[in-house]
Amino acid sequence: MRNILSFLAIILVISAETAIVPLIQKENTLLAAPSLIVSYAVALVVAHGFMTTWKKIIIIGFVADIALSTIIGSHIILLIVCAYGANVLMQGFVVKQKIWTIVLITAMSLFQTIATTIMYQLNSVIKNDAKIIEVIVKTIEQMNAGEIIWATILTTIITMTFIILTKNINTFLLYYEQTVDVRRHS
Amino acid sequence: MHQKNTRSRKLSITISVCTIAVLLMWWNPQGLLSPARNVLTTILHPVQKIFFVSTQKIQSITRVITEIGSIKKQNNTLKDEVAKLKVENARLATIEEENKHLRAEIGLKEKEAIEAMAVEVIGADSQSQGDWILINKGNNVDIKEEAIVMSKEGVYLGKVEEVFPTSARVMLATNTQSTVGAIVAGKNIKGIVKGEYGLSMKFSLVLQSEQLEKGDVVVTSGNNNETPEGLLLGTVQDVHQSDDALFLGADLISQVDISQLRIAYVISKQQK
Repeated sequence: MRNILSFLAIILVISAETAIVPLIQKENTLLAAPSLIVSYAVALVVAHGFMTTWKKIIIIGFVADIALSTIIGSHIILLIVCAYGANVLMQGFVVKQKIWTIVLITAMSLFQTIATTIMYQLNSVIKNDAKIIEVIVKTIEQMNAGEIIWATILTTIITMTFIILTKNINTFLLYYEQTVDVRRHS
Repeated sequence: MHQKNTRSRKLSITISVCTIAVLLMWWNPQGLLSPARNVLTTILHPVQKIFFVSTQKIQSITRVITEIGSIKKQNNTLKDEVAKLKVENARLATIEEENKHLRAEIGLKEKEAIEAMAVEVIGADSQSQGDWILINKGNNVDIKEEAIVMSKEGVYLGKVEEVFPTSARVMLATNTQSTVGAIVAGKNIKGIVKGEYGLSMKFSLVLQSEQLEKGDVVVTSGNNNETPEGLLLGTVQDVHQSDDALFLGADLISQVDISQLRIAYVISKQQK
């Protein structure tokens, strides 16, 4: 049951990445944009911990590379680095108030936005045999603080939604499995 | 102690995965993974279509609401433009008729019309809008790699780069790897249009002696057999010298908004 749901979730998130993200971007500007796959990976780490999810994250990265036509390995690096970053942040600052959790997720989202931008730039350099300096100049020309803030806010909203969904679905599945177990044994 | 061990284990997992991924990037086994990609795109395709169409609808509603204030002004400008275009159209229709007669008189064969197949856009590059789009037809209707894709208005969009069983990926004209022979309409100024990191297009290799100006309309020249002539590429926004100062170059504005594109046309038979 859990495996089927995980598979469906990956399919949904990757489909939405190619369908929704391009449409919420501003025309002819962006290199900084939210990434649903990264948010999903971060949500998995926040909900279940790094040690239980790192293998799943590698699979998601691999599937994303195939589906999004990026160089094989680039999404794996991006997801695992963001997952590790999220894990360090969540463990380094134990917070009890909700507002601080939101601040932490916003900080994480900023990290995700910058990491995603860098990864896509590197992809562009490798794929197009472009000169790295040219790409950096072009990126700086196109990107501004407003873009980064916009992408960070969207990433925060997406990540928080994914965290809530992942936690609730997990609680529901645990309850469901326990009920089935009790019925089997009685 | 235990916490320290877990922390170092996490770090070592991250470093090892990154190292293996870097090696994979260097190896780049894209070709080997084609069967996996075919299976995956077939599964993703219906879900992508639902997401893309519904997001586009929401986006157009939002656009109408946000642009409601400027609609009256925009309407007046468009009315003026339509009136001008009607006059231009009538003039061109006369010229076309004249052209047909002249071709018949000197024995030239009439140009064949373009045959194109309508396809739906179901996805786009998530990080850089101008790199590629995904269309909902592929091997199932015999779409071939390198086939030219245009919009309903006759704007050149790009070439089919990869064909899957039920979908295909189109490399847009703004992709860095895209190059197409171009000409300025009505001026016979020739050059090449290249993509600029999925963001814009550049008209380059134009001779210094040519009179290239802002507002000039650039169309495909049809120099090679693949691309038909006369497909609109864009209008000149800014004219400048090339880096080596040997040629003129210009930035082009595309006439099509990729984020609003629902239907595209794959050219199956080209002009001769």
